[in-house]
Amino acid sequence: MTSVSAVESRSTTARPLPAVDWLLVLAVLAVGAMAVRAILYTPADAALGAVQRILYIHVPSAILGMYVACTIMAACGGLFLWLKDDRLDRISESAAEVGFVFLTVVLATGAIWGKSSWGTAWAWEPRLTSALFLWFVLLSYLVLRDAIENRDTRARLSAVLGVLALLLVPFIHMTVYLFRGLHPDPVVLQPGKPKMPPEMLITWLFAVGAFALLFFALLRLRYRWATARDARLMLEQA
Amino acid sequence: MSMQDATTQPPAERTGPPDTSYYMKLGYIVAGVIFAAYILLMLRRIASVRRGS
Repeated sequence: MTSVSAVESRSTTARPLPAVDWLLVLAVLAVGAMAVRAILYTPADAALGAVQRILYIHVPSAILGMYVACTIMAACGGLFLWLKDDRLDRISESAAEVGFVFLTVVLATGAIWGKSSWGTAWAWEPRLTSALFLWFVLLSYLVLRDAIENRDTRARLSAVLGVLALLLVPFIHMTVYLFRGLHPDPVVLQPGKPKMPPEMLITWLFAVGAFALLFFALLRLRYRWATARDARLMLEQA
Repeated sequence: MSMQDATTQPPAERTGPPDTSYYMKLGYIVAGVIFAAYILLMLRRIASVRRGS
C-alpha cells in the first residue's frame, strides 16, 4: 500500500512551467475566432436583435462553469477524501477557481442580456437566484481555502464543501421546469431536437468547443501553478 | 414617381429586430475583460513562482 508520505513526495514533483502555454494561446485564438463568426457571420435573432449573440458566450460559460467545473471539483474532492492524494485537491481547487470565473461571466452577460430583453439587469427569479447561490458557494470555497493554514484540514473541509456544491447544479438546471420565471427554457440542452436554426447551432457548437478549450487550458495552467506553489512551500519548510 | 409624391409618402414603418447592438458589444467586452483579467492574474502568479524558485 502506498504511504501518505510517498504520495505527497510524488504529487508535489513540479514540472517546470513553460515559457509560453500554447494550449492557452490556441484557446484564446479559438474564442476570438468564435466572436468574429458570431458577430459578423451569424444572423441576429428576429425578435431580440443583436443582443441574442450573447448566447454564444453565456450558455457555453454556464455549461463549463456550472456543470463541468462543479463536477470536476466534487469528483476530485470526493476522491481526495478517499485517496488523500494532493493532486486531487489541487485539481479540485483549480476547477473551483476557473469555474468561478466562468460563472462570473455567466452572471455578467446574463444581466446585460436581461437589461436589453426584460428591461432589468436582475430579477429575483429561480434560475438567476440559484445561479447566484452557486456563485457564492464557489466564492466561499475559495475564501475557505485562503482562511485555513493547515494543509490537511483545508483540503478535507474544502473537499466536503465541493461535494455539497454539486448538489445545487441539478436543482439549478431544473428551475426553469419547476418554477415559472423570466429565464427561457433551454434551447439546446433539452429533450428533443435543438430549437435553433442550423447556422446559429453551428456557431453555438463552435462556441462550446472554443470555451471548452479555454476552460481546460486555464484549468491546466492553474493546476501547474498550484503544483509549483506547493513544491516551493515544501522546499521552504524543509 | 415625382419628387413631390416621394416627399408626401408616409414614413415607412420600422421593421426587423430592435437595435440591441449596444448590449451585444457590452456583453462581449465585459466577458473579454473578465477572462483577460484572470489570464493576467495567472501570468502574474506564474511569474511570482518563477522568481521565487
